[in-house]
Amino acid sequence: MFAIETNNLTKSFNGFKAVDDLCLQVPQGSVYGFLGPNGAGKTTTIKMLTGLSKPTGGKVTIHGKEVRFGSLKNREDIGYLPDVPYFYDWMKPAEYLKFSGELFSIESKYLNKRIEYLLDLVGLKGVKKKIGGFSRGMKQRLGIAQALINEPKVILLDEPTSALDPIGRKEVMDIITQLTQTVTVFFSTHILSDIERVCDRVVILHNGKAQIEDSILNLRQKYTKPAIMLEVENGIMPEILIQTLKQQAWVESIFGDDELKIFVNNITAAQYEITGILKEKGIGLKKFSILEPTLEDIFLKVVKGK
Amino acid sequence: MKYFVFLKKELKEIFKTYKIYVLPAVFLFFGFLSPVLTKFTPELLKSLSISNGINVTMTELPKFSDAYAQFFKNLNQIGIIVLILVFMGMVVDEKVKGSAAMVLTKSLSRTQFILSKFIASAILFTCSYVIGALGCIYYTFVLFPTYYHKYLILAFLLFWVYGLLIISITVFASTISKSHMMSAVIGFIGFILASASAMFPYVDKYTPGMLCVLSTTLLSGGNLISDVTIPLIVTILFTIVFLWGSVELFKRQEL
Repeated sequence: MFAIETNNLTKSFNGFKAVDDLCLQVPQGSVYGFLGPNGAGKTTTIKMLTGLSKPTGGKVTIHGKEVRFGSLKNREDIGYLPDVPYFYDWMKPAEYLKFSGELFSIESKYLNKRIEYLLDLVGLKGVKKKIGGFSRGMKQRLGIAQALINEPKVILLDEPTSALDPIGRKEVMDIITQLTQTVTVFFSTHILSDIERVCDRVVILHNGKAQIEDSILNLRQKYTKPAIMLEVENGIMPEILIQTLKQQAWVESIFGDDELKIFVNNITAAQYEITGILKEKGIGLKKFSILEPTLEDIFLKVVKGK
Repeated sequence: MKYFVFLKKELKEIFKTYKIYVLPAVFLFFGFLSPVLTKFTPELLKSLSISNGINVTMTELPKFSDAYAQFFKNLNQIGIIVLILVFMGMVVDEKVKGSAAMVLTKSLSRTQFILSKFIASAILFTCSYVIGALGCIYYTFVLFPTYYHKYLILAFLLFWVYGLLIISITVFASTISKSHMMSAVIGFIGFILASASAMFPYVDKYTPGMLCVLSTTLLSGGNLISDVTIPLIVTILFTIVFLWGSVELFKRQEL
């Protein structure tokens, strides 16, 4: 049984398909990255997974139970954090968690312990000020805590780091890292480094369709080609060099102006011959590095067709 | 217990925000002002007419029932407007800001969400109204030879039921709206229709607006107790219909 399964999930708005025949199978206990550019259909999908939005077609099941729009049936199994969480500003963090727990009828004695544990987990233990005075990062961390209050089987996080500064992002990512193995995390984002850091599997969504779905490791092996980063001495890349490189059989594609990113099909040949070409053209070398294949390369290929 | 969690939150929110001050203050203000205005307006007019050389003849001295009539008139104008302004955002604000989505992914049904909003608003309205009514009765007692009428409690009760209808209209407006402004406009249209229904030909005496009229005329002897039943039932039915409509429409809304 999968933690989340969608079959031909579709959502249309006035004829426009925001989500188009989406089929996902999210394994239990995984940290699943839901990657896509803005407007790809990530939030729309998550809202259908939570039962807040009604699919135009297809169906969603979470731990074998079908999610129906507005139904209370799956609520115990899921925790949800929207992209911009909004709390009641007059409440304090522990008060909001208590309120959230009471909505699930969690027994008071257990709830108090759970609140203490979660506040500690998200670094808000001892914070007595009202939520209205919280930074975005603090709100996001409290958002994760409230999503975990009922010990859900699946936690759905919609762009939890997109509006945060680097420190806030790191804090949230550290919390998500701690959640692995305890709960299935379904995590949407357009930030590739976040996905690479914590996710086991990823699906890339573009124009409402799933383009690629696999483990990060497999994706790197299947879709990325070795690349070389090249920078020359005076900072301006001579056109003659770019043209000469393009003629080489081992060059797949070249991106960049001042700093070239050269995708190659034979890294050894490239290593030897680039230095020769530079010497022949009389161009000084400033930086030469072999790049590790990244998810960004796959993402760009999928999204921009590069 | 679970069913009261959201209601408890709504009530706490009332206490933590401006709502707890505004509505009781407005109702109490009119509770005090109405008997005072009723008592002293003729004297004020007389003194103005003397200073301006105009002859004003008062055919009748103001009675205690006029003080209550003034109270209901003030509440049906400014009091109800304030009521709508205070409650117009109750559902739409949570939808727009996203807090509704966060609580509705927990074990809270949409029916509980709407009914809690209504009940909390009704409790605040009732408390404010009782405060205003007691203020009005006290000042009437101080300024007039008598304050009691056998239909006094019924008259106050009729306006209370009318107030509940206005709250249900406001909940409905807030549920179907996509913005604060839209909610206010729909709420005010609903209020105007409810209020003006007492002037609709043929059906006037069966309408919610009539309930408002009756709260005044019962005390002055203009209507009989038998006139109350139908508009009272109609108003209660309308209140239920607006609440049911709010729940059903909210159940269909995507958040």
